[in-house]
Parts: sequence; structure tokens; C-alpha cells
Amino acid sequence: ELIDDNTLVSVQHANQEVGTVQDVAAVADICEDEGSLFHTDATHTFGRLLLDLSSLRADMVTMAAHTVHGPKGIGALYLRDGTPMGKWMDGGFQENDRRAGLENIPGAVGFARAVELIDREENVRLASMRDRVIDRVLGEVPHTTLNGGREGIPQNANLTFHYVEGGSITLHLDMRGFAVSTGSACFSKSLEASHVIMAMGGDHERAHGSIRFTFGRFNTMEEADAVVDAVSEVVHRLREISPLGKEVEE
Amino acid sequence: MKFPYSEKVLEHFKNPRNVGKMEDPDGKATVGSPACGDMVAVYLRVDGESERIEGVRFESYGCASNIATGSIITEMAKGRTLEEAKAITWKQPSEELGGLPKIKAH
Repeated sequence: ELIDDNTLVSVQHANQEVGTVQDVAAVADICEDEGSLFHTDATHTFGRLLLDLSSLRADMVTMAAHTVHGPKGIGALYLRDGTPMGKWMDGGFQENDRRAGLENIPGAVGFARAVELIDREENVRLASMRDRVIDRVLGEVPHTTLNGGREGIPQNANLTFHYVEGGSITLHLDMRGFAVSTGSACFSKSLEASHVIMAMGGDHERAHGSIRFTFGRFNTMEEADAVVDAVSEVVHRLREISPLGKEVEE
Repeated sequence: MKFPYSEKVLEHFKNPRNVGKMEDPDGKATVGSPACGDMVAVYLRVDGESERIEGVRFESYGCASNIATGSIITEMAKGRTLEEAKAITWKQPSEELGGLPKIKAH
């Protein structure tokens, strides 16, 4: 049940940290019953999962170019016919009188070309690299937890390496040429651990030790294997100097 | 990416000194917790007569600042008397390391 006088509900289609896909059609049902508008942020599913606008049944859908190797700084907003949409930037009549300022033509052309280049086979390849990292980490590195699942978006794997802190893992991997990110507070400006992993029922330690691996078109299976080898070694080293987890049998 | 850390912090992060558990230490202290993402354990071996620190080791669960600070404070404390070691303020290791990111000073 929604709060009274609710006018807009916004639920992200897939979470960018752990890759979980939300049942947005179920949310759309509730919104329809309650007479609310429904928006979903499909930034991380666009081009990666089949986006069927008629089954999503959202009034508004957001997409971004950079997640499909397009230029940064441009996105798209799908508006279902009849969706009320005001002017949100005043000062000109461009973009159907909704947003002042000239259209970003180079961005739009780049975005369109990026969409044309999306290859469904690519997503199968991304999922196989994702599965390789998950399988090898869970199989070879003790005390690890998979955050999210494999049913989500194909490009993401999120794993917690217990008893070590994600900022240190990230920095060691960066020095070896791997770019990963962490839900640890240590790597943020806020000193807050990942609210996503906390909201999934994880504790602080699980959030601080979480690492997100995201694959793109230009990654290879050899790189997927190399990052597992590197993270395995780094985690082993960091555990040796960690005061935590020593009572646990490896 | 540009690291927010000085060369010296990165060097101590990569090659921490005096790291690892000490068996039968004369003193041990642990600060921090997994909840805040920072935890350091320090072990001391002290000469009974001179009260001089003969051995010092640390363990760290934390980010680069945490590991580098553990490394530098153990270097600074080694060979000092307990009184001298107590006089080390939090600013000194930070200065030794060429400064730490502001948000890390807590």
C-alpha cells in the first residue's frame, strides 16, 4: 500500500552494485491500482537484458549511454504517451519545451551508434566471465560470500572477502592494473559502508569486504582469470596481517 | 586514477614493517572494530628494567592509511621507552607519512 497522495514511484530496474533485478512489473501493478506514476531506472539493464516496454509497464524509463560503451553525459528518458511531464529547465524552448539549451548532438549520435553496436552475443560472453569469477572465487578463496545472485544483469559479480577491507583490496588491484570497486566506507568520501549490502541483511563487515567486478565488451576470459588470481593472492596477504578471522580454520 | 595517498603511505601499504601477531607479548591493545572498517592490534615486548620497547608488531584490518599508520607507529615506537612512546601524538605519524587524506583522520 502506498502512502496517501503519492504521485510518483521510482524503483531501479537493476542495482548497479550487486546486479539484482527488481520485479518492476509487480511494482507497476501496485502503481496502476493506486493511480501513481511509475518510473524505473534501467541504466544497468538497458542493452544487457531484453527490455520490453510493454511488459515493464512503466510510465517513464531512464537509460544511459555510458553503460553500453556510449559517450558519458547523455541518457534517454522514455515517456509513455500521455505521461504528464513539465518543463524542468527554464530559459529556452528546446527539446519540446522541456529542457532549455541546445541538444547534445554529438552525444546523441554517439549514443545511437553505441546502441546499434550492442550485440546479444556480447551479453552471453559477459555472463560467462561473470560466472567464471564467481565460480573460481567461491571455489578457491575461503570465507567468501556472493552478494546478489547470478540471475541479475550479466556484467556484474559482487563478492565479499571476509576479514579484509575492500579499500585495501581495491588499491592493491589498482596497482596491478585491475579496476574494481568496493562497498567499503574506506573508499568513499562519506565513511558509510554500502547501504545496498546492509539493506540486503549484510553486516558492516560484509559490506566493508565487498568487491564489485564489472565486465565490458573489451574484457577477455584471460582477464577474468587474471583478476581472480590477483584477488586471491591479495586477499591471502591481507588476511595474514588482519587481526580478524584467525580463530577460523581455513 | 590518482591516489589520495602520498608515496610514503603507498610504500608502507605495499611493504608494511613489523607486521603480524606476536607470541606471548608483554602487552597487547586493540582499537577499532569491523563495524567501522578499521581495526588495529598492537603487540609489545618491553625490557623490564629499562622499560624500553624491544619488540613491537601490529595487525591491521583497514584501508591503506590504517596499514601504513600501523607500520610507521611501530617503526617510531621501537627502541623508545614506554614514556617516550606515550608522548607520540597522532600528528607525528601522519607527518612522517607525508600527510594522510583529511577524512582518514578520525
